Amino acid sequence: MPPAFYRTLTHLGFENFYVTADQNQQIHPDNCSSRQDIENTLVIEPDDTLELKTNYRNTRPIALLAQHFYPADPASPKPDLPDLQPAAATPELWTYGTANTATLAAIADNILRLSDRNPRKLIGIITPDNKVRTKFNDTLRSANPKLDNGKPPIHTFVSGQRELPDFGQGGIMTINAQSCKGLEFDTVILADIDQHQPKHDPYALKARFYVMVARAREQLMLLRTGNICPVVDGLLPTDPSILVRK
Amino acid sequence: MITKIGTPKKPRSRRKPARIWHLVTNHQNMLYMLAAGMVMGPAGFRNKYYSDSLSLCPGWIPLFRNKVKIPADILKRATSERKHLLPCIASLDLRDFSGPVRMLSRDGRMRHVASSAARKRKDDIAMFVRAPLPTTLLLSVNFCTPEDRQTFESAANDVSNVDLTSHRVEIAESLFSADTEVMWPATQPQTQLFENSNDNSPAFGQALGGVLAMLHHTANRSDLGLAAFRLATGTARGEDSDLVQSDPILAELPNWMEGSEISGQADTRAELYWGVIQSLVVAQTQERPQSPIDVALAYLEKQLDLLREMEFRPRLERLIADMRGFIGLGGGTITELLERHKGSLSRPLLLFCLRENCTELLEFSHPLLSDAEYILAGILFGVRDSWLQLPKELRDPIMSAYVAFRMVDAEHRKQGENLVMSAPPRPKPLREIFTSPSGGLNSVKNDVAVELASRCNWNDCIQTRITLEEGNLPESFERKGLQVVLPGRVTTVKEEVDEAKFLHRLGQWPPIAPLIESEVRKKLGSLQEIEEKENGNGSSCG
Repeated sequence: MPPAFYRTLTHLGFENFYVTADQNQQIHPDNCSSRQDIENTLVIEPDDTLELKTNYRNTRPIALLAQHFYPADPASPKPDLPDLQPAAATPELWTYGTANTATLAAIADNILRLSDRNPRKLIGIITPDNKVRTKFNDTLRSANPKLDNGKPPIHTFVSGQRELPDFGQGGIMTINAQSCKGLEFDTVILADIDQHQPKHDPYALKARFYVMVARAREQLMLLRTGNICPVVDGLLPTDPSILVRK
Repeated sequence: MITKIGTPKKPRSRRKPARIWHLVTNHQNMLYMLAAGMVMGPAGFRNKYYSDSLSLCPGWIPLFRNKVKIPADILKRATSERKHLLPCIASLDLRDFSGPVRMLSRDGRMRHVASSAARKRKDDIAMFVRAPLPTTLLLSVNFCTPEDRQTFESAANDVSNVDLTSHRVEIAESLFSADTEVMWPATQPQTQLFENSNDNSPAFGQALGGVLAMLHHTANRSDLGLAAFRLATGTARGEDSDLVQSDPILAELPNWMEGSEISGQADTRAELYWGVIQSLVVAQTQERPQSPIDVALAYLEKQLDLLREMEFRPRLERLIADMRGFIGLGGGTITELLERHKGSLSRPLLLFCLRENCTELLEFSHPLLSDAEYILAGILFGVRDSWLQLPKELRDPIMSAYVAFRMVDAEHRKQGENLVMSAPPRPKPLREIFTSPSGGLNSVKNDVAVELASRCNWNDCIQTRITLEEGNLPESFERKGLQVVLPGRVTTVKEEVDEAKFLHRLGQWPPIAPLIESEVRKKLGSLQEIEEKENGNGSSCG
């Protein structure tokens, strides 16, 4: 929230409230307050700000990749790496839609099979914009691979939608990056990563990837199309122990 | 370690008096040890250890004499690392324990004593016992203030793998009044008394604990599961060994549990499976954490070049490719994968990548999986999660006590230590209690089974037997709504369970509610004792 939000709260007479925030997690940098902004507005002594360092959400391999996108803002320290969970898998990068790679339809089949292998898990597909969101949602809906458990629930969510989706059950949820902050999924698929904006602002782009990657609790896959974008590609780690290229 | 076998506990009045010794630690280390089922050296905590008395002589557990003030420096040390740590004193009752120890006197002199039960000298203030010790020796966990105790209980509630119901958590302010005159650490270090005794990570013991727990849970699913559990707990019956030997991989289970190599005649599949298990155990002792799936894959890939049977190579290559494939966005459905890979090596390894922990495996079933494949998957998962990671739902108090003893026993055997302890009773799976060696359910067991089935709503396995008077067998009967009208007279009407369906239900997940299970066990307990007396079997473990 912008600094004006906190000013309004104090003007309204609120005296006791607390803010839990991570300055590095910004989808819209223009609408965010820095730690300094909040401390100044609410007159909080720096020593009275409690730093939370434990990462309870991500597996260690996902946290490692998230750290790669950490915008390195010292005002909000890097969280500690979590312990290695027994079944934690390394994030994967897949390319699709080129001559030697899978088609979008095949990727959709595989996403449905992934859901079918563990129907209780919630898969979140995070897209760069509405066009990609609709593309994935439509392809998943029309796909019909052979499954053990029947087709999983497929939902999409767009900002302003009145009816909120049910995040408490398994299935597949496609949402835009702009809506993903504050959410978490068992598995996250970052769709068409080459389409993310703003490409001219590496800090903002990195911060966006940091937020998106940190949505994943257990498993993370990145998808890129054949239109490889050098700016986005340059952001990705080359170390295969952090990101496996498939 | 030497185990006393099969002697039932004496009535309280005739039991030896308690021999109480105190361990000084902090509440976080205490929680970890309760989860691990053992009091152990810092190496067992991986990176979760906060300095306390256990780091004085790593690998040795310092225990302070009862009714002697604890040195102030020791209490201070237990909370020195972080502000949020609370001092905690665990009281252990060593009446049923003996073995060589190092005794420490007030002036810092240390001496070797052949048995912890030996007479103490007046100025002895502490003794060092070789780690680990089972948490079953804990008499109470003590805190200085009610607030500290409450914080500890809240912290225990926040973790999935600590169950305080079978532990006494008390406030004992007097224990925390420290002795400021005793210098600590001892001024005359006598390191020769601790030579050749490293602080080892109890990875094998922990893996064994996980396996025993999984065998206990899978024992309810099949006769083979029950046979494997009895074999693993040293109480195999005649047919158990033959059943287990029918699978070449499962046949090696007793060797692994003994900490031995697999037999020379073992086939390639058994070598590969137990090789994966061994790699997983070793990986848990390493400084740098590795994902268990990566460990398993790395081991299997290394074996590709070493295979003696070359025809096995393409199968193993295909298995490795599929294991890699469906961790992420590749692979097919589970049915397709199980159809592509048959056998008790491949399928457990596939499940290893498909399900994340022991609970998820127990929730899973598939018609293509054989009993042996499921049990072997359970062993893999038990090693991967180890006892430490198992949630409360998978550790009932009787099993926890037994597993704690077995884990410690295995670690001491590995170290060649000579500690003597009483073994707690072996947990008995419900399937074992309901399926007596004589076969079939007797009348009492049937009644309990009907009650259990009824309380669990397993209506599909309840049936009603109507016995007619001789000569009254009708050729047909009439049905009126929910009633059946039989001609003639009946002598008895009895509810019973269809044994096959009932046993199938017993093995399903989620398990029976603990309260119902405890009541059922109570009812069956006295019957079981009578049966054991008749068969000449005491309750034993070893």
